[in-house]
Amino acid sequence: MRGNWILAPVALFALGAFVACSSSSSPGSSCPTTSSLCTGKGKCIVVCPSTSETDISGDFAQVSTGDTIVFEPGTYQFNMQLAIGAADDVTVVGAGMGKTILDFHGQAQADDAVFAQGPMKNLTIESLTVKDSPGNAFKTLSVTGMTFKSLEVTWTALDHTDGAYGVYPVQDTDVLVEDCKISGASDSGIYIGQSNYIVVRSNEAFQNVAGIEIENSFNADVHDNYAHDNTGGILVFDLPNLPQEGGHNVRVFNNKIENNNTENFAMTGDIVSIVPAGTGSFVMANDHVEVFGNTITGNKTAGFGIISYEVSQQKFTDPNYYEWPRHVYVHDNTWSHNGYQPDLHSQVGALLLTGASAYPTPNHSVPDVMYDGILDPSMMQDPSYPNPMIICVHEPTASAVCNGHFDKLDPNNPDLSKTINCDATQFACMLPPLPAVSWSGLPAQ
Amino acid sequence: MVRLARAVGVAALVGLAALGGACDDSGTVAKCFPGTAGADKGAFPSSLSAYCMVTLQNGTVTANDGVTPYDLQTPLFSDYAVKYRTVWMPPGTSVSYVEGSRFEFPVGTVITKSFGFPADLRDTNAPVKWIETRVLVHRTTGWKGVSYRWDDAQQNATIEPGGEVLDFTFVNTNGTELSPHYLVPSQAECPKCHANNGSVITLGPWANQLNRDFTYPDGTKENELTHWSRIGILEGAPSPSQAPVLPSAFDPTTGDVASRARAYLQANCAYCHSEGGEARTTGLDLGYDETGSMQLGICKMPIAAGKAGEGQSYDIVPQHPESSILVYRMESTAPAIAMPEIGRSLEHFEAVELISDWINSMPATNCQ
Repeated sequence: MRGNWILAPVALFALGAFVACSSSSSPGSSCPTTSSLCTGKGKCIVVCPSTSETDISGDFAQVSTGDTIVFEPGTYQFNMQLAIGAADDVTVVGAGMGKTILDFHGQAQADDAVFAQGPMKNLTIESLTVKDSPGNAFKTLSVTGMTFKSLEVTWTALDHTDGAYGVYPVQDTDVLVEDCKISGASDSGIYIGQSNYIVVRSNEAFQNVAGIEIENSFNADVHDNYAHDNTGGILVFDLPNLPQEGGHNVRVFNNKIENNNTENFAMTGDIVSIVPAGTGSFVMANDHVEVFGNTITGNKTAGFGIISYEVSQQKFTDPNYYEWPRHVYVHDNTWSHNGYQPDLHSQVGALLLTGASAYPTPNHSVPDVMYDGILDPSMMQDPSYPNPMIICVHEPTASAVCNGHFDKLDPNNPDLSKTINCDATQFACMLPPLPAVSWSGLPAQ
Repeated sequence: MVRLARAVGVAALVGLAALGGACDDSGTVAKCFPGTAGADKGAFPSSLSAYCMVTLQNGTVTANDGVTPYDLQTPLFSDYAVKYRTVWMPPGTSVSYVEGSRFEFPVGTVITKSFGFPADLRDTNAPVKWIETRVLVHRTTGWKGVSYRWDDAQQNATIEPGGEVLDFTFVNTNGTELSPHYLVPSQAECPKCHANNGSVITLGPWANQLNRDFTYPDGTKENELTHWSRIGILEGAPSPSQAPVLPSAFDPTTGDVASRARAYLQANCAYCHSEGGEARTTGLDLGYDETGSMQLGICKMPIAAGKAGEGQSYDIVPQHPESSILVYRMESTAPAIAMPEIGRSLEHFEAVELISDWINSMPATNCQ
């Protein structure tokens, strides 16, 4: 509850109507004491829209091992974040997306709506909607066994005032994001940061700046998602100056990556603000990435990019950071109608347009697969060994598969038509399939 | 007198179990001694009085007998709240002096910090309305904290694990009216600041923060390190002249702009922005001893920061505070942009000026 507190300094001590705070965490009288959703081994705490915010926050703060917090259907208003106490095997569950709605538009402080900081094991959050949080909807740090299931996250403004991330596990292990529906994030709908062992499956991400991001993470399977109408669909990348670097072993498969043409509405200082509208998917500065079985269609700037951090044109000083993609295998995806109108608000989009005359594609659209060709200088650029980063592409149905040779661009007058090479045989190699990501406790789909 | 109180404390500890309930109800002075509520297990008592750490009378919070009040060179900013800090250690125990890190207090230690607002910051005698007293108890399983909310009558403070946001007004030193959305943190928000690598920690009591004079309740002024040593709760401390001193951020006699700015960042940012802190995921380290310019944010791109800036590209652009995300996020009061993430809903104008002065004093650098 927000106290109707002092309105003027003179009233500072005169106002006696202020309601003393309750220390009880018992729910309101109209609230049932149990629920069919109470399945954990610990206590089950049922809360209702009539339960005070302070009491709900207190319930979150005081959870013990095995506890379940059940949200009855209805809309809940919050002006502070809900921070989950560090306990193992905790479940927070609602009546379903659109049925239990946690509305944070009035939140006065903090960067997250729902927040957990471990170390803790096996936290599950499922079946509810979080709406209009000023910051991230869900952030979890240092959790092993983090499950986000059947969550809806929405923002209604669809501009940079929306929160940054919908679902944001960072430095977590064994992360499952499943059956969620995320829209409106001013950075990324589903953002996996600096985590290890990750499955992101069967989610829908739309009208975000980035639909799904896998950043500085290891061992991720991203599959059967529907990423549409974002600025960029599915982005896999590594960034410098972070505690966990060297993103690797990422599989992106069987996703639908469609019509990601929403104008970029990120705040300008945000790194994703440089992503051109109309980006299907890209891999930046990762090692061992396999992309297959996806349907990539209708993305106006480009279908798929394989790029170095240099393309971001951001300076960095970090001896541990490796800025070039390597061991990338793109094969057997389904392509159509990409690259037909590069986003000229973006430097990358404008650069791609300079190659149009040389693109061997219908209507000179941007080739479905574009590699920037920027090599680690320590790799010998021996003509007899033209593919030192081991970028392998087998895409007979793509409009074209090209090496843009950004490394050979004239910095004063960059013109891709002078550097591009669309001979697909340069990528004619294969990499062994990456192993499926799994861990003890990962439920079958 | 102190020794007597500590001796009584021993007696109280022996009767620990029996005392908990008695204290809970009335906080009767005769039955209640510091530390009795700091039992190692179980729920926190519902009333602050059970701890017998502090007494609030006539608008003033005072430390009970055997409880040591203290202050810091550069405190955390909390919407201009005034604060009163106390520490109590079990009789016969003490904390070992250490430099360059926090003091590691013995199990059983209780620390309190009370937050209040005078109606008018221009009037040093204005009565203070106390809002909450936060308690940290060092159990064998680690530190655990919770806040107690003072009632309107300023008689009792009652446990509030869920916290709340309070809207009110007060008058700032320049006569303007300020309206914070003051946050009483939930129990699970304590580790938003008080955590390092998953453990709950204390933040204020470092040697360089305590190496300062304090006027004790009996009117004597004494260096805090000296005082703590003299009453036996601190072991191994050198004389104050041999110990480090953190500059006081807004006292120009204590250091140059750069060192005072760094002291402010240490107290207000480094609990998260340091190795093991929650913001370790950002690569920005604002600890007082950090020497790396990239770690300090100079020409550093914000990474994994969400809403980092509005047109600004770097955390700090030397000589350009207006282009520095650090300043932008200190000026902002919008949730998700404002830094720190919690505990500040008002701009700390003096701090923005200090940090801006520091950035202006840096040698020019082209970050591009």
